[in-house]
Amino acid sequence: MLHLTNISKTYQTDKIETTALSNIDLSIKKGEFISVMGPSGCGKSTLLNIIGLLDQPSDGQITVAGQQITSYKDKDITQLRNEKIGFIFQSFHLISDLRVIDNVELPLLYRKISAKKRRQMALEALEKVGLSARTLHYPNQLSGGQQQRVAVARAIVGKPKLLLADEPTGNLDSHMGDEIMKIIESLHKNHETTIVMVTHDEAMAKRTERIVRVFDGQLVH
Amino acid sequence: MLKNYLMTAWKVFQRRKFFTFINLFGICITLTIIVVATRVADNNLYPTGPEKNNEHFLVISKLTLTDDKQQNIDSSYPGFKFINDYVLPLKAPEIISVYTKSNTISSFIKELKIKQQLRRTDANYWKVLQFEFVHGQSFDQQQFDLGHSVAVINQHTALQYFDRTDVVGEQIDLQNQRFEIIGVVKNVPPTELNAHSDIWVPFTTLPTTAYRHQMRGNFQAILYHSNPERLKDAQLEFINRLKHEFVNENSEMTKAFSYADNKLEEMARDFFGEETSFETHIQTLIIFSILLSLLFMLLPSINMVNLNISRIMERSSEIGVRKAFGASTSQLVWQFIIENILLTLIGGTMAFSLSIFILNGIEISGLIPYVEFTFNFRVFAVSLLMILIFALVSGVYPAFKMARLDPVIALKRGL
Ligand SMILES: Nc1ncnc2c1ncn2[C@@H]1O[C@H](COP(=O)(O)OP(=O)(O)OP(=O)(O)O)[C@@H](O)[C@H]1O
Ligand SMILES: [Mg+2]
Repeated sequence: MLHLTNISKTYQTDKIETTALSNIDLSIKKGEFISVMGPSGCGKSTLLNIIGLLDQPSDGQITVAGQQITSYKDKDITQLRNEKIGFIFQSFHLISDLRVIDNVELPLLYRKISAKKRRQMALEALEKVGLSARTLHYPNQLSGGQQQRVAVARAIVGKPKLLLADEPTGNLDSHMGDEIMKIIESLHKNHETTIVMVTHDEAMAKRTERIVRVFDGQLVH
Repeated sequence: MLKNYLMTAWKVFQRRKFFTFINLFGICITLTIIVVATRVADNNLYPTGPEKNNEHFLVISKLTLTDDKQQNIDSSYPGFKFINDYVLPLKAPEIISVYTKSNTISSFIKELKIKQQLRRTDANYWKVLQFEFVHGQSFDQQQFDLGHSVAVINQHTALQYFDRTDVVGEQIDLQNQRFEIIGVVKNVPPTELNAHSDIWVPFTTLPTTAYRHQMRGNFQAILYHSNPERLKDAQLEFINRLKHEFVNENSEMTKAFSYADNKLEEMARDFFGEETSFETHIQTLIIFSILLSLLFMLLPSINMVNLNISRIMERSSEIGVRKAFGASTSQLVWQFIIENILLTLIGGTMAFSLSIFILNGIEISGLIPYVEFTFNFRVFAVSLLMILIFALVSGVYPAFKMARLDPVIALKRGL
């Protein structure tokens, strides 16, 4: 499903070179649910962004959904991002100008799907996260937990093969966090979605199938 | 997709009322000025009164005399002698009309002193210009030749004197001469330089014939041809005649410069022309006008660019999210451009309405007497074009700049 070979990432800022990741080798099987842990600043988000093709590694090879990435040009990766990958961010990143339903529909806009079908798929996704009653609200009219559920619905509406979650429960209290975790777990069980989740929470991490630990930009075994 | 861009744009406007308001305000002011300017320019270039057929004629209204060394330069309206010797013999025009510029005269009506414009014309004048007669008619060649004391007046003057317009057969006194009114025409605004006046009488009614011997004076001429293409021949013929055949007896001013110009050429010459050359300056005028309007749009555009950048910048999280979920850079560019075009069109619509208010205001205020600004397809098309140029100039750069944001950075910035 996913292969990282010898991935490195360095940031160049004002003569200081920061190594965020160095020589990462990682394989994730189809349908696997793994968590990524490590101290703050160790490179977890960078790793996730590289897996999600949002960021370009300085070195190394990556294969996503059976496709080796050789170019980061728009035309080569937008379709992959759109059809194969779903994101959940720590700070939700809902578009505040759009209603819940329009936020959830967003990934489908960049596919050839009729408006009616889009609406139907968005409603289904919202039902899965238990928010059918809030479709016409704006994000700022919802609680944090509800907002993250909208974000989950948006991430899964396009039925991606790979779900990437960067501290999805980091901004929520433990009760809300548990709810989100349950939704993610059910996705894994029912749809065989491959899931990579960054978390700081040992308890959450234990509920996944494998824990990958990062320290100072390197994997520790 | 377009529909969705429009929907999104509409939602964004509704949710960000303050930004939308500021944006619209800037757009509206700029565009109102552009629309008003377009309509005023259109009104000047394409008159709707007696000069509405102005593509069929050229006007000679200036004469510059110099000595051999061009040290003495003397410009004025042509005199009748000049017109008689060098204009009337021209072969290329079908009709030539001779008339004076309009002069301000004072008369007393009911013991009230009022100022009026008086113009003295020939009979051809009424053939080449398309006056609309409310009552009566113009004077003909015979009345002109015999120097009949007849006058055509406009509605405004009729009302001033008689409180009604149906005044054919009445008499008025002008400069100690008594004239019989034979026609009443619709009011003509001063933007129609050759037609405008309050009262028109034959110039054969002038008290003396001294004007017949003057090289310089206050006469003008119109060269008319039913086929506008043929006017170029008239232009050339006139210039050649001046270059090769001009003589000014008993004077050291031996060279003459004058021009048969259409409306645009006349404007160009007013702005850029040299008195002692036959050059036209239309290209300069057109380039200058384009530069001026671009310059005028530049400042508000820069303003709009800034406003647009900060408007889009506030939405960097949205850019990051859209990219993460598969939007391409070009899709985002289009989204922002369409947003801007929509906003500009709304502002443009407001500007159209506002321009109607302003121009109605000018019409009513009497700032330019009798002026009537029409709204036609040409004005609409030109204004729309300017509006779209404005939208593109102010929207494309921010759209490109923002759509190319790195998604990771956009997401971080959007926190
Ligand atoms: N755009 C950037 N420019 C320079 N350095 C960066 C940039 N982004 C990240 N870094 C550096 O790369 C390293 C890894 O950052 P990253 O965000 O991946 O950490 P993280 O493990 O997700 O931390 P946290 O748990 O706090 O989210 C850090 O040292 C960070 O300072
Ligand atoms: Mg992080």
